[in-house]
Amino acid sequence: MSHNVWFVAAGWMAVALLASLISIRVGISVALIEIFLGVLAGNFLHFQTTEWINFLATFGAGLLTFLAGAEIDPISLRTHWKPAAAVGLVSFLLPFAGAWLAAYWVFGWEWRAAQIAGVALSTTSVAVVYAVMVDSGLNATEVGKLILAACFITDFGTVLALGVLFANFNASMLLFVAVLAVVLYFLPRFTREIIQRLGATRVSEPEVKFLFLVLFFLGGVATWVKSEAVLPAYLVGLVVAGVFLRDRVLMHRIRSIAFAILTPFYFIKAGLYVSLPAILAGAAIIAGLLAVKLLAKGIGVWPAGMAFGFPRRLNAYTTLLMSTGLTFGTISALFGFENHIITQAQYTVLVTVVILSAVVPTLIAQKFFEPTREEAQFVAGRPAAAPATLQPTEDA
Amino acid sequence: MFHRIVVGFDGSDSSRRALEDAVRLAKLTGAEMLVVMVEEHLPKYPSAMSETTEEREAIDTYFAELEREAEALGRDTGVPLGVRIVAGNAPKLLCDVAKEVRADLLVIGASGRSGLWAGVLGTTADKVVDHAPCSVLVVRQWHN
Repeated sequence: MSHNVWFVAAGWMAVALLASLISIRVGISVALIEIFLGVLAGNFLHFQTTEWINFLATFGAGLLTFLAGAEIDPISLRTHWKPAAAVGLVSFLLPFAGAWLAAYWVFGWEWRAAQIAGVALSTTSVAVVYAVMVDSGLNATEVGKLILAACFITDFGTVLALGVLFANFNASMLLFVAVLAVVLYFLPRFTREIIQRLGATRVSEPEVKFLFLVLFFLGGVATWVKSEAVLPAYLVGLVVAGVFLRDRVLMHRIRSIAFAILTPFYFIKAGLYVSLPAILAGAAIIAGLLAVKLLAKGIGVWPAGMAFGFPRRLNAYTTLLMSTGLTFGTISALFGFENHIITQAQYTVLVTVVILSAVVPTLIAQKFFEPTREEAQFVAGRPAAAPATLQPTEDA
Repeated sequence: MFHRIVVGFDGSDSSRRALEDAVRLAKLTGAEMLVVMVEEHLPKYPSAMSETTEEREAIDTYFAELEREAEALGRDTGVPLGVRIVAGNAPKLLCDVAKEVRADLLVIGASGRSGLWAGVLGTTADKVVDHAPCSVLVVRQWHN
């Protein structure tokens, strides 16, 4: 019975359904609950992955990465280019270097395993940051858009590091870069045309299939050169972001497909390899790496915020939000584990730190540093004279 | 008899019945009426921005529809009523609003949208009855 594909699928979908129900009840994202249930399923029910589960999970991670790229607001990115690049870059570089060196020198990890630690802990979760800002109305302000733009730069650094650090640098890599460049150049025009000609009228979803085709093909080329499929997925998302901004229906369809059938497999699988005994055994390393991540983000983002004249409270809030991580952190850790770069104990440590980094800074930011209405209207380099765009809170 | 009635309304059959009974009571007693709708917070720690955006849109659409329904009921029955939408924990917020407006009656349905979990965690009605600052009318939906 355990080899019957339908029963296996039913077991995984039961966990995914339970995660949805719990998520609705407790108000925590389904992704986090799926990871937690995955941990329980792996440790107590001895769930195993199969080839088809691995594929669905990998594609789920790829689609999440694609969505992360496609959700960028290109206009906002252009408007806030300089401060966003400055804050985003240091927000990537310092935690990357800090966690890498701490894992290598302090905790004695191997060089490549330490690099995975650096990549996994360098991220900022745009989705977590955005959710916090929607709650306070900050997302509609200029500074909110600047923070989001900075998060995209940070994530780009993470994805680039993951895609480049462990790849083979030979002729096939040149071919990969060339193919990627050509596809990315023509993709926005093709996507726009397919949507305009067919997207609005065809239930056979040609525009979704077209994007999946591109993601599958580039994912194949990326893994062929030992890179990671998330790199082309993020770049594809980036170049079609403008198209997606106008076509919310397409975004909705892709997110629905991803959340219904693909990302549950990814997040449950991500939890599956977390070993509960390893959490206890690695508690000190977990605390140490979390401290390194928060400290490095602080050292990097705080002065950058000061340089652009952020008010003190807003700067603390921004720094804490930039310290959050979730999806790319788990993707990086899983990449390391599946490619035998890190052990299961190290994987457990990294995923635990990533999850804690989603929760701890958010709670501190919301509890102690939520900006006032005036602070929220601040625009980097000049206090906002424009009309207030801060939405009233839900409790109003 | 009653001067200020607060009624909890979340779109469930039970809360709809509570709203109708509250309107009837307000008409009989001439009481002021406030309809309170409690929306849940957006999910914390999402994995994609669109998760938040779409959740926000779905919540806004749903509660705008409920607001129109409550206002239409008030117009049709000739009972002036106010509507307030708040976010958070339903039992706590219903009690807080009742206290704030000094309501003398809080009307709620026996089981709301959280019915699936109510058996395990207790219903909103249980908690409101325990903590309300005024009298509580729990309206049961009869299935004949």
